[in-house]
Amino acid sequence: MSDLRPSLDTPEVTAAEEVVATETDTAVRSRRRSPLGMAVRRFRRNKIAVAGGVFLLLILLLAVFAPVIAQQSPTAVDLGAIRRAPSGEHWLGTDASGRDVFARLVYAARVSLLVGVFAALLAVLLGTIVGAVSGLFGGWVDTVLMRTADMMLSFPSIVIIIVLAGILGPSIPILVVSIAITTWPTTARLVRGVTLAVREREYLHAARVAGASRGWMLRKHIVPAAMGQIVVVGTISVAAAILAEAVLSFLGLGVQPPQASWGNMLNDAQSLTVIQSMPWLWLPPGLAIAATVLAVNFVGDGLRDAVDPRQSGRS
Amino acid sequence: MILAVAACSDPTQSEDTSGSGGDAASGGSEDTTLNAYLYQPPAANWSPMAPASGPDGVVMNLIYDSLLGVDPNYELYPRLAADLPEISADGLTITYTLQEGLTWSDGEPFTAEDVVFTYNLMADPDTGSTASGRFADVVGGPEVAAGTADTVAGFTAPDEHTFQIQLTKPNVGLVGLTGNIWIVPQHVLADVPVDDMDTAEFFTQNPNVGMGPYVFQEYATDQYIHLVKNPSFREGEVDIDEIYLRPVTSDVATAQLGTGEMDLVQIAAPDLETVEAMDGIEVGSGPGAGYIRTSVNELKPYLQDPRLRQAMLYAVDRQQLIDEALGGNAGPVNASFMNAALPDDLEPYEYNPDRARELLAEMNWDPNQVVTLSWIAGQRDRDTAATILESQLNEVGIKLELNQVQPGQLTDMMNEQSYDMTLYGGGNYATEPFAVFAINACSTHFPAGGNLSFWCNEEFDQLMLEANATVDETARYDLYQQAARIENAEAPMIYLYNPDTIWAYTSALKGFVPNGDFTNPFWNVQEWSLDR
Repeated sequence: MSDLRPSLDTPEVTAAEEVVATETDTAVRSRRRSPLGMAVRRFRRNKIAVAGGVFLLLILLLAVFAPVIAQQSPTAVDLGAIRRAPSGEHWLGTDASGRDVFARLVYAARVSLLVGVFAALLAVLLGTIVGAVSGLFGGWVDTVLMRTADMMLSFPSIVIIIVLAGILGPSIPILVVSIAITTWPTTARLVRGVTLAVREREYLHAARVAGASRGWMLRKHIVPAAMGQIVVVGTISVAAAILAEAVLSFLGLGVQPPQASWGNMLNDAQSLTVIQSMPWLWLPPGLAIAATVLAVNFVGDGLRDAVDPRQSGRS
Repeated sequence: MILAVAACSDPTQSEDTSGSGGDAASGGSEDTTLNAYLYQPPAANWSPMAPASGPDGVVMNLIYDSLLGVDPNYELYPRLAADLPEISADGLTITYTLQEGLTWSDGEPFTAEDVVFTYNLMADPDTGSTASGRFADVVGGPEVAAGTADTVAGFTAPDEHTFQIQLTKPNVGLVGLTGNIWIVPQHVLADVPVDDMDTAEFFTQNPNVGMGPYVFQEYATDQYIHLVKNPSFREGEVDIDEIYLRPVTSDVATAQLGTGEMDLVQIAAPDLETVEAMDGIEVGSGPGAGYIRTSVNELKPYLQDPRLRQAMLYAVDRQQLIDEALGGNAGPVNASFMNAALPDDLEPYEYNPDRARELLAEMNWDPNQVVTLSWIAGQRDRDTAATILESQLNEVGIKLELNQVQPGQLTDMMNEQSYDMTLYGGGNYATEPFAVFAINACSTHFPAGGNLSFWCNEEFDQLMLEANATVDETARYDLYQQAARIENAEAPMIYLYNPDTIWAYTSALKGFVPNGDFTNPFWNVQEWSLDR
């Protein structure tokens, strides 16, 4: 057993690539580079994806250094300066309570990234476990888990989230959890597919014969094999979660005042007066959401192409 | 990605579209149709006994009528009654003379028996009535409230056109507080058991018989309430044939006003300029009769010191809130009383954060004590006020946290008395000063009444009761003013502002007189016409 493991470790990395290849049996690739190195190379050749990544990095810096970048407090009201147009003092003007829109925009980036990343992480974690267990165990475990996933997928998720927020009261943790529990089935189905394919491969048969436990196979073979696709689906989930946060906050069920979020800043834009004559109140958060989600999706596409080169250009 | 798709297939969205599609179809006929904004979806219980609900009140003002009405000056005027009631010299008998020859919308004759029937329902808590307490001074009223009698001995109909109320002691406020009760048809409801009255099909499904200018036709849930004119209305034929009341947000309504989909809309103060710039739109406003306030729950030990509430009043720049955030479309408030009952020597609590800090220091306020403000979000001026409270109270060292809640949640919090502070508004304290008793007395703590601060001051209560039993007007208002001074000094709530109600309407609509009571825009609808 102990001398079997090292020998199994070597094909493990290539397994990730081969799983994908088995579907069409047309894999011809260089064996000199590591798969990870190749993926990085492919990603870096994708200019749009790199641009998306740079933009996200920028937003991340903005969020981390918000107190340094925004001179004013995002929650300080100034009754003497309500709904003022952009000026030297207020770069993006002020809102209905006289708060600085630029400061709110910058601080809101924290919320959006936080919710986006954590909701996606949670969803991917949950989805990976469920998918792998489902695929590996099969039988009734598979049936129960996958039908549950189907059920989740067939509900309009936004309705579930609204109900949850309504019952439990809106807050950021509730937001993260409710977005995660409505998005995990996507990852679960993907990971299950990969698991089913890997499960029948010779090296896993060998492992099983050698007495490897299911938990060990899961950790050492199945999850690493699916990792590429998990990263891709996780990235796309981040974009979806940022959008969901914006939608819920826009509806008043997400981030609570006085904390700023791009969604609840957009809430102001429901007013005709604001839409017509105060673009500084809705254009910046609107653009921020659109650009960030676009950037995340570009990065996601880039990652997918990098992990699975046969798909490139076909999306 | 899945989320985005799901958002598009949100069922409420598609319902909205189909709703407005239906409107276009109903447009082209010869009938004149008025589309009006309803500020919230109705609770769909059009029973005069049901707990007060503003949007349902808008409907009931159209389909039912009352002995007296309240005009935009907040003065009583006769509707079904021929004149204001006569009050005997001892103050113990109130006599209403009804107009003659009136019929219900189904053609049945209207008599004083209908009035006696309705007032008995109102006095009986078994019907779901929340107003039975108002009849405590009527002969036999307490017995009905206690369940030991079925009908109030003090309500009588000496003849077909006379309705009399006998009192055990003078109660001047009774006319102002009960004259505008919506009268319901005895010939339709006589067979409904009293206990089932609150769920009677007539009230919850189809209140299609009334004395009002319009007759109820249909309520398409969350889409519209359809009303057609009452052929036998007391003032003769009404001009506008149909009314659709549509519950949408004020933002949507304002936009629809511009496109002509909506004819009458209540708008938010910040939108005033935009709406005034629209072609073919008129704007009118009236001062409100209630006010926006924040009740401070005095059942919480840390919120009992009046100095805390005074500090809060000093800490918030209410004048600038009115001038800047509301564009001057509101009035200042420093007590619940209005007009003649409001003395002119009240403490105005002008913005003075230093004074607030002094008061807090004096009472050893713990700056780490978190105070939560719960309110139902969605009305722009209130949301802004909450934001400003949060910021300005924190500035003087009161750790205020905001908590947006759903209507049902707030009801639960009220029942459990669990909130620290709650922001709300409304009421009418202009017509009858005794209405303040219901929000400030020891005996009217929620749910027995509307006292959401759970404030209790026996001297205040005494003055109020004494005033209400004083027939002499000067002496009565003097007592109310004394009560107002106590309220002002103890500040059971953080008074914010009294908002003007601003109406915008198509210039094709003639005869519209703006009313500051936003639950009664249709008070003179019989005089309206629509010339498109």
